[in-house]
Amino acid sequence: MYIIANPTNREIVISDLKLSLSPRQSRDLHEAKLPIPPEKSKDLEFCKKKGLIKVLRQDSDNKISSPTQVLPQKEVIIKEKEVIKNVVNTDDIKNIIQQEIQKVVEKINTQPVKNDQNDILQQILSKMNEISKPISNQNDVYIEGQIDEETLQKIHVKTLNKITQNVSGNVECNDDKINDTVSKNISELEGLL
Amino acid sequence: MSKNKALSNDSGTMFFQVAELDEKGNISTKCIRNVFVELAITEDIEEILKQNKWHYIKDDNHYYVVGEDAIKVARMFPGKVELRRPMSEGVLNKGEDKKMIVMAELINMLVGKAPTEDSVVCICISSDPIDGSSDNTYHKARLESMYKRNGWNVKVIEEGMAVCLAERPTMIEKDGTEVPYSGISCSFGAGRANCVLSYKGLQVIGASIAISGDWIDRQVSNQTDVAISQVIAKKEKELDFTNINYDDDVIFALDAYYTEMIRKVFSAFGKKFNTVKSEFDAPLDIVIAGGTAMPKGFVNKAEEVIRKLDLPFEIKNIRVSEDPRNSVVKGCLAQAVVTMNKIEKQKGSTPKKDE
Repeated sequence: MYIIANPTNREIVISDLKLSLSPRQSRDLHEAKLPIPPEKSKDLEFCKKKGLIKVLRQDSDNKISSPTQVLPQKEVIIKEKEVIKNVVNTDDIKNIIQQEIQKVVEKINTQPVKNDQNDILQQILSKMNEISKPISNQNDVYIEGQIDEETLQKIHVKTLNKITQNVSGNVECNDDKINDTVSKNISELEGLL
Repeated sequence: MSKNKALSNDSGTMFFQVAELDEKGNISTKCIRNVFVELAITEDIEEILKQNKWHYIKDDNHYYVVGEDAIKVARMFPGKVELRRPMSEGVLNKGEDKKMIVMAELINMLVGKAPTEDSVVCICISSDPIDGSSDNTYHKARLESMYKRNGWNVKVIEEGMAVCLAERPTMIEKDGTEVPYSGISCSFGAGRANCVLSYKGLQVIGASIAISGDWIDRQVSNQTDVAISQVIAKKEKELDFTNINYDDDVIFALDAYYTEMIRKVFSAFGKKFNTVKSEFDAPLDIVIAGGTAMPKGFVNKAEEVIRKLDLPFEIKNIRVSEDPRNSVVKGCLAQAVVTMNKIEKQKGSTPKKDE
């Protein structure tokens, strides 16, 4: 098990693994089909160093190479700079495009224009304001360690199996009979629950 | 008759309880105090444990004596062994590194593996905290995984809801119709107090607060300078709200802090009720269960305090469960049977006879 998570609020692409993680998404790399074993990924290492990827769990007993999961690959050597390029920040791209459009519009706006052109420009500007509002109102809410329930349970089961493998005991407890006050509720609850 | 099994588990801060309906339709329960002491492995330790018939769990390096036996060991070696708890404030104890071993093995030994793939266990967890105390997401996932790895289908309900299913609070509509499983159901455990508002067996809101039995014990111990163990003993054996001995400092303090607990819990629940803007015209039943509601006359104390509060709902009747300690595990059992029957119906097998 090698579970990583994207703790940021943007999409992260790990190029040499050909893997992208949405904001706050987690993934078990040993379950994913990857071109190279995740332990050999330089891009992943870089992302981890930069805090762009967080390792939630990495089992030491997993071998580095797992032939059944490794696909044929082209040799890819990526330098750090290239990795940075590939770490796509969709919010940044939106901002850049927005700024560029704004510049063009402002440039046009400062030039003398005819009335009908001015109306069109006003319409474009008001539309742009409408578009930019939802982007600027977005809240960056991230709960540390958020992970989907199924993955969380898989982790727990694995942990439990590991910590209880040499555990034994003699705990037992006598059965007590208690007043049954719920049997009569059961048929009534069938219709409700 | 189907071989599927339905059972329930209430892993409380003080007690670990399991219940099931036997073939004759009786409820049988197992109950063990949810405490342990750790003993290092020595040459003669296993012999001592066996001679005394103490219940234990063993890993590579230690023995963990559990339940009432742990209390006996702690009394025999005061200051040398520490009484520890796998649960605290209604969730797995964050500060206890052996909690998983102890809890997982209690489940293995007292519940075991599911006999069939359609067998169901219903467990309960605390409602969302309204006092900023421990969140139970992690607790829920861990507890669920302890059963799932043994092959059980796991149904999780909130503790207050379990009280509702066991105690059947009702409200009366304007036209005189009785609506069952509608009202406010509360569980005052050791670690937390849980309250749920339900309508026709469906949960509307739930809230929990880390002010309950343990909180009372700590406050009374601090105020009177009496050891917590002695406070608990007085609480369990002498406290009677119909006849308070005001000359006894501990009893007097217990009375005061019970009042404060009830006031804080219902005031907080009233606020939660307001925030979700629940609207119930009809007066609501309040039913209370849990070990902390066991002292004699608790219902009088609850009446006295709750009726004075300015709450955003009308109160019909306040009552305490006839069997406060088992109410939660019984409610979970009702839910487990209903869930198992649903699974059987979906798969077309024979439902259990209670149908």
